Amino acid sequence: MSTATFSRVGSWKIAPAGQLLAAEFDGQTVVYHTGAGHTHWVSPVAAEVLNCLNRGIHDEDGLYAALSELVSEEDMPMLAESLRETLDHLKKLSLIELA
Amino acid sequence: MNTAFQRLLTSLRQPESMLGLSESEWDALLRHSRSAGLLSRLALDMQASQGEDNLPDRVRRHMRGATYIAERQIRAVRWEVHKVHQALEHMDMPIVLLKGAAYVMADLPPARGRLFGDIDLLVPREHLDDVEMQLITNGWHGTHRDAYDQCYYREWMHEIPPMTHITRGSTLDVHHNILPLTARLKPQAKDLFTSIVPIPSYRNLYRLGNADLVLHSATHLFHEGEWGHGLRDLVDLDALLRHFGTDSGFLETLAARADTMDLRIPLNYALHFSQTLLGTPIGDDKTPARVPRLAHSLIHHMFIQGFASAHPDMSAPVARLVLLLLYIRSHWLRMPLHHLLPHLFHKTLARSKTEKE
Amino acid sequence: MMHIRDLSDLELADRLAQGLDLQTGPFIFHIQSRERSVYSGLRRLYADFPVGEEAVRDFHVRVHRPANLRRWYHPQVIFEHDLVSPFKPLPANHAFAALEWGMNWCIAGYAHHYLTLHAAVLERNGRAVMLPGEPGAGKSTLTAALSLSGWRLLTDETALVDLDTGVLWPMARPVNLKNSSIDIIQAFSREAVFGDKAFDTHKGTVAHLKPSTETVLRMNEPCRIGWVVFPRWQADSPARLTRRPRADTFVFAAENSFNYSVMGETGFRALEGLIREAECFDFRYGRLEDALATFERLSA
Repeated sequence: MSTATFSRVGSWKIAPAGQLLAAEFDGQTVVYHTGAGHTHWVSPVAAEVLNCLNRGIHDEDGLYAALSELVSEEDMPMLAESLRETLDHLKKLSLIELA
Repeated sequence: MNTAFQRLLTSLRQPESMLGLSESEWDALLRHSRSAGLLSRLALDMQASQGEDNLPDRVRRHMRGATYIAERQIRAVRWEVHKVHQALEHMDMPIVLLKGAAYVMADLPPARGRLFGDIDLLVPREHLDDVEMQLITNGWHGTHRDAYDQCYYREWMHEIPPMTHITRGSTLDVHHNILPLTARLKPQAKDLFTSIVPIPSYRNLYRLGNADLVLHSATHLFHEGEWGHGLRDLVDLDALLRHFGTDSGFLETLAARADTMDLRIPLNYALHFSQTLLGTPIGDDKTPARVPRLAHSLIHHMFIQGFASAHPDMSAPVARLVLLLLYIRSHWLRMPLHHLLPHLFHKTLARSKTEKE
Repeated sequence: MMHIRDLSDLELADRLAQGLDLQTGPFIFHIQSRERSVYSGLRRLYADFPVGEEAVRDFHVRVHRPANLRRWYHPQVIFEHDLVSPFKPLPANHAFAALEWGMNWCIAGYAHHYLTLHAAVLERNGRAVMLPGEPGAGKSTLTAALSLSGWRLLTDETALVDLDTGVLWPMARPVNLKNSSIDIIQAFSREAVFGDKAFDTHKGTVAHLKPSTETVLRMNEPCRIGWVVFPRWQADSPARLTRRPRADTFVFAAENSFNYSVMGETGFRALEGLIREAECFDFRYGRLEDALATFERLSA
């Protein structure tokens, strides 16, 4: 298992001033933030990131570590990039913010 | 004052009275309250008194829908304030929320069942340009590009012309004082900042002090030109007075503050109509001396028509003329005659232009 | 109970001039109009609908001429719901179309005791198929054809989802068709009865299809969802039904809901329940007959 750390910017949180709702259909997750007001179908990585933020894991190292547990060996090299993109994407959607 | 208007007022004053309404009275009240922007408020009152099960089915459904609207409105305000705050909090200055946004963020009673439109802010005059820049950077853009309107808002109305957010479509009004510079009454903006109250958990975010909240609401209402929301604004005022009035001495503080800020006249009007129409408890010995005289004057009856104008069923036939007079009056209060006439002329032209399109 | 067909021509015209109460499923509209086409539309298309008998009406609407020159010169009409006129004035002979659009607007804007979705809904064998409104996909033509082929029409435009039970509530109102769809459906079934055409509307030529008597009789009968099908007509395409991910269907439905954003968590959960219960498909077809056959098999 890779022990590389990930730290880029710091810590994240679910966007405040609203509730993040989620539903899973056939292994796929849709989310809706009642403040931001939009509904999105999110990737498994994104769904897991949101899950982690909900569970109290806010720093990027922690998110990386949590995701590593779920990802296969062959996907590991792409995880860092994937996490970076996911965080940017979720921020653009106003679902998460820097803590 | 006709029956329909009276019934709406009674429903506001005594929500339990709604349980005694006949179905045809309900048919009317649903329409009138909706037109006045007060259906959500009645719905929440009904919910609070737990009387919904005794309502006719059809009425209950509309009330239920109205409570969802009220909740949605609060969510939308909270989100919008969050975004505005994100854009401006790093600036070293107080950001003061006004009216609806203040009621929501400070958890004040007028927020209950209220409908909200634009977010209104008050910032120190010296930071106005920077604020405008920050907002533009964060996705707001100016409306009212016409040079005349720019001048009207900046020089006469004390605000940046309303700004709309490019993706959310929400509107922001940024003020540096609460009355136009050319107005007869001249409250000092810096006085407002001395008694602002912080909003918990939001750095640099404030609301006006208790007395100033009441005074701002009173001033806004009694200089109002557009009376469709007049009754709703009075309902806000009544809620504020009841909430703060539990502190003994509040009314004295209020009167003293009104004198300092030269807003005694709007306060007099506010107390008078709130008491007359909504039964706001105001101790006799605290009521400013001038108020009783209003009851017999022309202006009293004009204002009653203004408040009732939300729906034709509640208005007298003379209402249209009265509303026109109140409209002109509101502008007369805001600007001297030599500005007023060209301004009204310009607005009439602009309106007939858009109608042709 | 009285129905529109029980009113004589004079009585109908009179009532409309004063204000006629019309029941369409869960809603009672109080309609006031002196316009010829409103009268004709109600006479021909709403014959089987009940006259409302309650003192509380859900919506008070009017279709009337403006108080200016356009009252007589190239006459126009305005739709109004209690002082609010959401549309620009329309030519007077489009008055009935204006009324139909206006009624939809009222429901979309105020009926927040349901989750309302932009979709057609029809029922067969106790289960409903929902056809979400992708523009230009031919949904209305298919809806009309299904309604003439043994499917009970609940709505052509506005699905009403019960917030507590998840059932779909009907309105049974006329299907709005435009341009070539009108001719297609006219050719499709001899039983198709249309109201007057309105030419040169912003949607082209528009006409409304009379709902069957049975559909109207059962206007108070809700049902559960069975399928969500996204139809797409394409010339010469063989009929093909393919599964569409529920997650994707959910997002589309949310974005094409009239009041999802008003309903917050309640709306989210109601939609979740609905989608969970439904099988979701994309459907491509070139011939109506093939489409009907596919739907028939689906509902068996």
